Amino acid sequence: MKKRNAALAMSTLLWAGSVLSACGSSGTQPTAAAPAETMTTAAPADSTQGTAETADGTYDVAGAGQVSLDVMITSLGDSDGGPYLRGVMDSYMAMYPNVKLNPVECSMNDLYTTLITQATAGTLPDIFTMSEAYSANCLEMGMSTDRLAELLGEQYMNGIIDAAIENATVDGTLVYMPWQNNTTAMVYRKDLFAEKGIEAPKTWDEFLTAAKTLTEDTDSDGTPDRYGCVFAGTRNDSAESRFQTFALTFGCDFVTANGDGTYTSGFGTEEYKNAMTAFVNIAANEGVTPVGFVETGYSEAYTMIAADRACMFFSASNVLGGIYNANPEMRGKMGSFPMPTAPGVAPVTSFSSVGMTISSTCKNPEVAADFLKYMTSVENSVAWNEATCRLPVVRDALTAICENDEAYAGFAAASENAVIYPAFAGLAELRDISGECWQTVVSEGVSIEDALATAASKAEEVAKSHSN
Amino acid sequence: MKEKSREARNYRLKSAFTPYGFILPASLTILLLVVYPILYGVYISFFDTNLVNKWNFVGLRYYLRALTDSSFLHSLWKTMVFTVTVVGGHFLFGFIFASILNLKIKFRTLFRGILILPWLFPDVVIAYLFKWILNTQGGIINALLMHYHVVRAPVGWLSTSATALPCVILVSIWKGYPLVMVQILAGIQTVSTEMYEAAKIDGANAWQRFCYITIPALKPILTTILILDTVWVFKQFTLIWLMTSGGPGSSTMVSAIEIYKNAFSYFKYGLASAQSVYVLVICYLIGVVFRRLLRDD
Repeated sequence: MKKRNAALAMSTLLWAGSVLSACGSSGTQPTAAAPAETMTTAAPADSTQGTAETADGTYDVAGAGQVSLDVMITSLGDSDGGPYLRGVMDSYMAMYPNVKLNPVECSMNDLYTTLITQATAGTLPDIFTMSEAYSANCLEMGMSTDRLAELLGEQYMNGIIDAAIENATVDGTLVYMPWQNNTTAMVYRKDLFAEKGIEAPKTWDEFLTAAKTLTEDTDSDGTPDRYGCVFAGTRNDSAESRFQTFALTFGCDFVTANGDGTYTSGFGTEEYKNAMTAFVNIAANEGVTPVGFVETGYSEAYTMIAADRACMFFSASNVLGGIYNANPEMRGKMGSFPMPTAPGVAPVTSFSSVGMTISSTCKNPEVAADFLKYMTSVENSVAWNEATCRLPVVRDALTAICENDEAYAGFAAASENAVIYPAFAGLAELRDISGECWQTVVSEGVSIEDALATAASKAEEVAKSHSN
Repeated sequence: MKEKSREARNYRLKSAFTPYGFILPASLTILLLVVYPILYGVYISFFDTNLVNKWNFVGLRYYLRALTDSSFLHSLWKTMVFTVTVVGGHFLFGFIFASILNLKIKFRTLFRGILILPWLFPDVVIAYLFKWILNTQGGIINALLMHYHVVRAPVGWLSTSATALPCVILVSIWKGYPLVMVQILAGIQTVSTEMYEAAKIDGANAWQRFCYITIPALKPILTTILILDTVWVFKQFTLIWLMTSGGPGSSTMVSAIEIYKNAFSYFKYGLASAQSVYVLVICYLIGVVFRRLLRDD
């Protein structure tokens, strides 16, 4: 696995932020204004900037004639920025009346199925969502334009954190424009930590101690009603990819590229065993999580935090949006800290990104690129963060957000040690094998040794089947 | 004379082609929506493909792999268990409720309306409804059991291997019995009352009348429903996917979910197609076997 030291990114961020502040750009400062207001004020500033910076710097969107672009929207819910993104599209169309942006809705869960169907039918939207999980397939299938980096322009690309660029690049081609910064960190109840005098844990042992302290029977009915933490245990990619990050903190890489086209699975290692054992113990055996771990998915997990029934959960920053949306009173009570690690393992977490790309069949890729740049401008990124709590990958916007809101401090610190997973087409299978492993242990009573042996054997098969 | 023979020839030709004109729209629809997708699915099963620009011919490799794939074989076994119990449940409750509704009882129309309700709800609604009813955190079943001190801690109905499959089976039975009930009820009502009266005079009891009059009279209907219901249940996806996603572990991993995951989570379209062909063959064989077993001699 190639380790990406995002300290570089963060220091550059802070530097860029200072420069930006020095330049007096009001757009870098997050305000309490509603997203719509921010967009209105941001639009004129960006209209000049966006057009000037497109591709070779001379593309004139206003003079491009009548342009119609289909834009995929996977942020459907309020807390996920659906209305916000539609607002950005409206403001862009107001800026360029000759451009019509048609939203094409698609649930993130159905994204890849939908893309395959659209690609085979030749009906891909001009702009569609993409992530590193599918970027290799996207490139292989020729779904996206192969000159995205050129369309976005060097100046724009220089403003994005390096880890994100590398994450979105496959075989030297920028497959998608990264947008969402999914660095994983632990979100926690800052107020309860302060109340009980708990320091942010740095190891999983300290984490467990803190979780035990926080687990309480607040109504004295004999059973706990507020738990120290909540873990996602459903058998889907959301929970399974979280476990991959958890395993990382035990020094376990799911898969290692051998450099000769072959891969080796890490499921047979002592690190994987330790990770799975600790995961099952904390999530199901220690009494520090709500019952029903196997039924607890991402939305159930953040709902429990919002409902004051759990105190810690590891996720990307958007979980804060879910919590605030479910219970606005949690604003100001939440904080974040980097992922704890096993003894002897240096601080580490995972970085991944979701973004947008331009279809290879798009007739106006320059306009599409201009819209993407407008969508991710500093002003819009900050406003988007206010609407969704998602962190952007644009340096200046990230700096502004992290400096302004303490709740993101843990994510900023975690990104200093964030790593990128290798582009391995069988990653979803490996993750699913892990999900099956913990579920058989917790719900079928299979011994952890037997479950691990089965998982290791399956993972080796997957690694072999994807080796050249 | 020649004129008449030409007219007769034209009429014969017209008569010969007219029926084809009538069946053409339906035939085209079936060709496009049924035959073509099946043939395309079979075609895909011979390739290592991403469906867009990668088509590596692999012959029968995926068919052989499916036969030795423990996950697929396990999913077929789970599907068998699921199908037998659910179809059995449909027929048991279908018969019971159809027999009750055939009696002259008060509010019969109201009961008919109520008993048909589960069939009217979409699978998605039912799946989420029961997911919440059975939920560990605040589900009404657990709340009631704890309220009456039947259990001390919430039971993970859908998160425990021993209870997940039975729960999914019960929900599937609840969802599907009304169709069988309606068909059987319609069949029962076509049986002549004179036959029952004659059997009564001959001294046949209720059970004998059921075995020797009702069942044989319903045989054609039962055969049709049995084949349709078995094939439908064998392919069940929505309810199980939404309730358990095949888990916990692989305790509810039926073949439809296994195939879906291979195709749309792991992007192994060739393997998934080969597995689908096996399921198609099994469903066809089920139809053949049932028709032979239940044919009216």
